[in-house]
Amino acid sequence: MIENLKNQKSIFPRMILTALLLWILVGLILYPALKTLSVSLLDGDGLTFSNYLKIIQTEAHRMALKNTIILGILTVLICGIIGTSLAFLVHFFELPFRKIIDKLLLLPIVLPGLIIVFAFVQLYGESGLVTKTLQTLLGLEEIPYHFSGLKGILFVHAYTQYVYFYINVSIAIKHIDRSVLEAGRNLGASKFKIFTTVIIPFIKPALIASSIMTFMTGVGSFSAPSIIGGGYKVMTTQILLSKANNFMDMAAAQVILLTIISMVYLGVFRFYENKIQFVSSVKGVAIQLIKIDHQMVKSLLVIFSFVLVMIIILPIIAIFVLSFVKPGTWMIEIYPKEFSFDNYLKLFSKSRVLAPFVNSMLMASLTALFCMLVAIPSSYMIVKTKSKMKIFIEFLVMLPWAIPSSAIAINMINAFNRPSIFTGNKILIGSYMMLPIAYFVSLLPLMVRTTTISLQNLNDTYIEASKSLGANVFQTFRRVVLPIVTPGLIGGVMLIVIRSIGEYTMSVFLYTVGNKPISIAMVNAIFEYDIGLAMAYGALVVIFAFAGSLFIGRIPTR
Amino acid sequence: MALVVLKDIVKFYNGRSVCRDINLDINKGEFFTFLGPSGCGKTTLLRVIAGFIRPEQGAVFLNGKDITAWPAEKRKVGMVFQNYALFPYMNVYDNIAYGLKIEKTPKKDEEKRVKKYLELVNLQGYEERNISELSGGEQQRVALARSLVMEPEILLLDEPLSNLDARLRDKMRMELKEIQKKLGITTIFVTHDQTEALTMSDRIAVFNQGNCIQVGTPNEIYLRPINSFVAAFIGDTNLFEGTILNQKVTIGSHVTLLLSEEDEGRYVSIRPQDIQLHKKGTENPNNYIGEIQSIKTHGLLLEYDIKVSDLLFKVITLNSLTDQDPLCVGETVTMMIDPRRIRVLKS
Repeated sequence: MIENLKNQKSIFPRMILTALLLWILVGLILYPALKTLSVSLLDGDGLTFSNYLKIIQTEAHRMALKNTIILGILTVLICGIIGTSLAFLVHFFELPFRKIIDKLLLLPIVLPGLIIVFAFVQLYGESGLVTKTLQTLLGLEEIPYHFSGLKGILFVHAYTQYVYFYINVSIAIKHIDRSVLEAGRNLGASKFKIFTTVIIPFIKPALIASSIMTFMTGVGSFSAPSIIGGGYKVMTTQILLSKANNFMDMAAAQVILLTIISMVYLGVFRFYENKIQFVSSVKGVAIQLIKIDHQMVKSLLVIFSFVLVMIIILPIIAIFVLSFVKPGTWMIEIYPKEFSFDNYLKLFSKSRVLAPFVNSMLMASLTALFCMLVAIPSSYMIVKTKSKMKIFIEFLVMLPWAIPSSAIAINMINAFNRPSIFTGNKILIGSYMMLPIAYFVSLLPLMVRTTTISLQNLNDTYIEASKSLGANVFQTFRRVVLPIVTPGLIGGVMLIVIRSIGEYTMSVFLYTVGNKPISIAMVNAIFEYDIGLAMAYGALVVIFAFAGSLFIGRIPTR
Repeated sequence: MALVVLKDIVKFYNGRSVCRDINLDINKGEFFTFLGPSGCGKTTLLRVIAGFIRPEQGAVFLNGKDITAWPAEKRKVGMVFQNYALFPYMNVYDNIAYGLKIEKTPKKDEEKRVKKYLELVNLQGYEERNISELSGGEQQRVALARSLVMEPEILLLDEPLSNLDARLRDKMRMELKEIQKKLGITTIFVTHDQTEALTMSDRIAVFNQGNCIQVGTPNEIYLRPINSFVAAFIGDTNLFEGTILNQKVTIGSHVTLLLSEEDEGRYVSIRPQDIQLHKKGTENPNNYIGEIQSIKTHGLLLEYDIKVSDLLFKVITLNSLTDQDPLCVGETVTMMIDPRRIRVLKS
């Protein structure tokens, strides 16, 4: 009786909360996506496929479509090979310095793509430090390679995205049960057979999951194609071009196609992933690392590891070193010669120069706040309630995961370039809040995953145990719920801050004078040949990214 | 010659020896058990036989052939792992057929053999099931069938029952023994559970700290333990350090017991069931009056803790309905110890 009363009382606020949540999710995620769909299909006279037909019939558009798919597939292959081999090297063999190398290999995940692109241009571009050094050393008339087009984009993607494979495969390797390997040998399988019949099946789900992540990031990539892509046109750059020329219906059709490419890959491989997914019921024994006895092989591996570490940290070093280059001193020489604190002095003394940094910090904080406010109740509904709305909410919060950033930006423009009921009859486009809201939409899935894992760890028996020991609701919340949930939440928030602070793609589409973020300021500085200032901006972002990443125990990547 | 011969096996782990000069002969058709506490080296020795570990010294012979240097995959030795080690991404059929597929057995033959061994372990119709859908006991059977289908010369079992709950463990124990008898397969069984060892084995080797302490039939081990470790590890016992003089042993400060013969040693072991209790005892050199400190009912048995001066004895009697008043805590009783039931141990 009393229980019943309690339940009835608590249903009303919960309904309001659910309705509010749905309002936000539908308004900011589903409505804009559907709006883009309608813009692509409707003109003044009604339904039309002319935009899609144009894409299929025009050589340039067809090319961009093809290039995008090729880029996605090649990114998966290259990152798969690099990430998987590195995971095996570090977690399957007794590699010298493997613990440090493991930590270093995780670094690129916290670095914004745009900053990597610029660091790479400074190192490997036409007049890059490494390019020129190699040319001088080898005594060549011309530079030894051209860092542009598909090759350049793939190089950047390899650096920024092998981590997805590396992390997932590493975890999968650690979960291989030693007894199962031994059972295989006991039943007569050779080393090669063990690899194909035991090890591969164990890491296959990780490979599939990483390939989904990598493909979607690859086809949605914007920084690398727009800055170093040159003649290699892809969908994301074409979308910006259409938008700049005010062909919003064309941009919408391109966005829909790009989203479909992304979703088809996701759908097909998710289906396959679920088919091969398995549960190991009994806890296994961790594998033993394979010793490398051969002295030659060992030395080669040490050299390889050293080169690898250099490749990973070189861009980061480059950013910091170049941020100290004295303005106007590095023009024709190969190496900069004069260093000073001028760039930083300029950054911190002129409010116009500092503004983008302040903007980015503020917008990143707002993004994290929005993410938390929406992700916590969503995860709570998904994990702890049996609400009928649960599946719909889960679908909505995860939807942006399959939508590339540039598509989200176009969706925002289509939905909010006029007053809408979801925004309280205000036009969001051109307002300060547009960027944090766009960041929020694209990063919400990441935050929800983090909070969901945290809440799953919060086993109901802990709460029951606390209550049985005499703790009241408040004490239980403070002493049991918070300690279990907080680490995940802090990790999630930090990840959101890191990901939004250097965001470039959505920013290009949506920024205004009032909320110019640091990424745009960096690009502008580069175009004004103020490389030192650009790198100082970059250095600030890198410092914040690293500082933030210290709070993150384990970075969820999917 | 015995089917499996272990000769002077020595194995170190991080400078610590886990097997010290182990010599064992295991005969064809035998159910042979390695028994000992965790970390005693029994599993290491099993893994040496399976070929997962190469010993620092010594040799392993199978059927007279030195297989010490053979890789595990060439030995054709069946093994059931403690956690079963089933391939989680394969169904029951594929798990059992794994070894046959590696051997490239013709498809028809393969199907026939998988079916035969599925029947042997009582899992008919389970072919298509996923491993995660099976209970612990069923997984255990699949693991057993997977090894047996290869028709190995010896079967190695690494604590296969330890992950099962008590009732299932008893059932599997009997089934395992039955299958072993039916196939007549030479089996080496590793366990830390003395009941398992005593009920299933033809012979037992008791291990402690890397040494093989005693080898014998279950009865030999139980009735004639070679030292205090074996006496205490296998079955309950009253173990006391004592001084022996003139066919008498003095334990504690006030208790002196008559022995059945002249003997030398440091310890005496008296099994709890070998002490008799009487409400009123007679004068006899081996009778002592003590006070009942506690009584535990096991169902079949009653277990008493009895204090005699500064010593505490454990006594076990059958628990059956009698006309006599039951003994109570605090009562004094006379303990009678037959000199023939006292075992003197040197170490």
